[in-house]
Amino acid sequence: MTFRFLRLLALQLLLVLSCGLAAAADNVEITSARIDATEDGYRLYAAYSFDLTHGMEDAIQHGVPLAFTTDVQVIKPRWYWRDEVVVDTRRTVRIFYDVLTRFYHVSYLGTGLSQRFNTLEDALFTIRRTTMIIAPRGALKPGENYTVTLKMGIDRELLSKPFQVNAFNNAEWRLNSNTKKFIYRAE
Amino acid sequence: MKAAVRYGLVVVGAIVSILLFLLASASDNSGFFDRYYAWLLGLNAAVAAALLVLVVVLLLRLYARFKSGKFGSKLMTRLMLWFSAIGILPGLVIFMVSVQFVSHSIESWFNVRIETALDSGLNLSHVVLDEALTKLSATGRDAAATIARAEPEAADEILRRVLTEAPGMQSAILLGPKGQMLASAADRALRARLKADLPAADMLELAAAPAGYARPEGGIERELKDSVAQPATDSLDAALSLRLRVILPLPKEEGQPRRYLQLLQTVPANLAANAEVIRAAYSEYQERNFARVGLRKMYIETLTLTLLLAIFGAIGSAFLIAGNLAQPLLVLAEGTRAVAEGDLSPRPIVATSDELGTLTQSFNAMTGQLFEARSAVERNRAALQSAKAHLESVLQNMSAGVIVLDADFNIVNANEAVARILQHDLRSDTGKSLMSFPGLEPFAAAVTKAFSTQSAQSAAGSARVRTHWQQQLEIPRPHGSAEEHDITVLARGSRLPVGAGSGYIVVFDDISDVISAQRSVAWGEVARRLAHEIKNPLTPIQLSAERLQMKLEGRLAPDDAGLLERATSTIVSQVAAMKHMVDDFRDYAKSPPAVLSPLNLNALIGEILPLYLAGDESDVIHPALAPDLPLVLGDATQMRQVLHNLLQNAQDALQERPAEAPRAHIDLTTEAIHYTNPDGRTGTAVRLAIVDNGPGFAPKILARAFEPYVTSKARGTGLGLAVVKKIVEEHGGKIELQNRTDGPGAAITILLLKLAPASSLA
Repeated sequence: MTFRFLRLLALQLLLVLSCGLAAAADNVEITSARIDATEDGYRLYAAYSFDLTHGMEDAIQHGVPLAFTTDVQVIKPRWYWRDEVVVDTRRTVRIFYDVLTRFYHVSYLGTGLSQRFNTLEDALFTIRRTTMIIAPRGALKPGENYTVTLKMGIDRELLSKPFQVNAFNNAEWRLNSNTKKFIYRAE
Repeated sequence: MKAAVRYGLVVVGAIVSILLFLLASASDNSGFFDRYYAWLLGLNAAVAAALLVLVVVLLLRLYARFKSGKFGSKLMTRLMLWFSAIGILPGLVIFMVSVQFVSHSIESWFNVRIETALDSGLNLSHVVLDEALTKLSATGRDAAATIARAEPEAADEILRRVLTEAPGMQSAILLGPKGQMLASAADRALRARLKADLPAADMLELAAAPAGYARPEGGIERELKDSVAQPATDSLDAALSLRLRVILPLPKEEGQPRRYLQLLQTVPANLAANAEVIRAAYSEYQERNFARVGLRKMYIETLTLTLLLAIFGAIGSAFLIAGNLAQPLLVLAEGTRAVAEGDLSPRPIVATSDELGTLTQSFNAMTGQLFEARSAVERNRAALQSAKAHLESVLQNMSAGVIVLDADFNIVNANEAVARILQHDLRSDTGKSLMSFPGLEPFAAAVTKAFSTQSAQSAAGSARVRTHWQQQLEIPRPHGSAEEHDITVLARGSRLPVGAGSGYIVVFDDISDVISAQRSVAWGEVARRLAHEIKNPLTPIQLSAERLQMKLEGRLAPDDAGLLERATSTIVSQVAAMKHMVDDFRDYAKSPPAVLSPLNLNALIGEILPLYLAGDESDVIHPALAPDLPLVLGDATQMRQVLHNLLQNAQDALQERPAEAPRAHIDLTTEAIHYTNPDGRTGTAVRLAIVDNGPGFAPKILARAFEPYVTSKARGTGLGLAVVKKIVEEHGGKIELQNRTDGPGAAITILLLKLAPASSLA
């Protein structure tokens, strides 16, 4: 009897895990991503395609701020040791609707840059494409191949706590991309 | 291992407490926990899972023990269930109440009225702001009209006037068609960053409409605020940055590029502050409203985790407590079982100062005493056994026969001597009646009669009732026995003390030898008297007969004289023979006492043997004399007579042999024998053996050969062996008479124990 109970428990755990994995799967698609070497440094261009869920949109309309984070890692594979992480950086974009002035604000955390939009669509358009300096010039060795991983999604850590709980067990509040990997040959 | 588990549980308990505390604190709004709430939740869940695994393992172990009927598992299970119930039930009750409470109280936070009030407040703010915008637009429209009419040089002046006339005006800027600044008037503080306040392209587009662009907006500071996690921003700062922007197109003139007037006015501080409070409250309310499911889930998750941790902790603790409580009891129970099985070794003591510890100590003391008692019993039993064995061996080695009978004359016990004397081994037939042995009926009858007689005597109240009777009994030999004479026994019977169960004990001894000795003595006396009485008249008879012959010889006719001659000679010879016989008797009856002196037996034999040996092949005597024979103490004359008698007997025996028998043969051997005295010293004896291969003794003779007048010879007094025995006994020796076992023939062995002192070890 105990054995059957245990088996049941194990099956349920498996079910929950698989659900979690399935739900974690993308509702954000990374449509394009590339790195250019510019004067200022290595610049990442990325474009995403996603739609806010109804709940999120509703929350934004009522003045609840949301934050999206892009995680970038540039990894140099090493056969003799663990891969070296050359660059590990993130950029967080916050979208906030001021119910008083009826403007949508999109601000880039840590940069002091802020934009004002009349419509949510305009604001989201900005968020859907990102460009950022990920490394200064000289940080990467020209001619070398690097693995770049890219991930984008709602930043749960910047949500208020009840939303975090929501985000745990409510698919409405989950918005993430799969990790995208590509090889970049440094210039 | 137990201690390790205990410490482990204490540590885990501490960790769980900390985690739970953190989780509970996380319900407050603080940035740190916002950030790590997920981790905290996961960690708690992981601990709960680990505890679950532990509990399941413990339960499985208990179940397996229970199933296999392991000793003590029932007690453990019961204690565990009780303690678990005590731990779980209150926790469950509190959990239920808390969940209900949390759900209801969270729901009660949100209701339509508050929401409506907040909406209304927001609307109010909008209305107020719109009104202010309308007012500013009116001012702007006036100013725009004025500027449009006035000379371009006067624009600065007009703008400055607009700036000063209205309160809270930040800047008034005249803009070109592309939004470039044509003229401006600004607050002193803002003059430096006037460029930042220029309108964006989309604003200008909107401003091109006749109504112009009019909207409130947050200041730069406000929009740049990074903190998302703090929606309740400082309302004063926010108020300062809340301003109104109005962009109006100047009335269109032909040939003139399109021009715009932008006015920026801060909202009055108190209004802005209030509006900001409403906005913040609205946002927060909405946020919570959206998150209330999450909030409830959060509380319930926290509570559930707490409950799970508490339950698993309770079950784990129940195991520990049950184990601790049950352990001494199990030790005791185990001990009891071991005692029941006979193992009295001390049990491990439970080192507690409470009653359980005392109990195990008492238990150990008890088993110790039991052990003592048992070993004492064991010792007593062994002592009794050895005493009994001693008694038994004494009984068995007694020369007298002992038979123990119960009240019905059934055999209870008998010793070995009984078998020897009665020729019946009664030891294996305990419980049988004494009467039931064939051949023993006379004995049994005599014994029974003797006891009943004694009983009758004691019943008659006779003055001299003895406690035992004594009687001489004759027991016939069993059929087919080699010996024909009855066994004579002297039996004594006595009653066993009533205390030991009424019964009888019969002790008897074979006194056939004693009787034989008595007979010898009696015969000796008779012989002596007869010899005396017969010898006296013999001489007168002989003398009278000789005188008759002498006197009548000449007077009788030759025939008569011849007759007389024959008669007297017969008389004389018979008298002489009779005299000889009487002398023999006398010698037997009172032979002179032996005079003991050192004597070389071999030399004596050497002296005698030539009389019997011819020195050729026909000799039948074969001496085998030990060369270094010790000297014995003996009377040479008497020893010589012994040797003569024995050799003569042997020779006589050989003459009676049938013709086809093997060659006659007599062995004469002497040797020194070493033996051990009862007191442990070694002694030496001399043995003389004469062995022939004649017909041997008839069984009838063998038993009584040493008695006088017992003989197998046609002629003979039967005194020979009697005399030999008497002499040997006077020499302190032993004589033995037996038939050879390895063939026909007799063997006579004489053992001389008295040796001459000097030669005792020679």
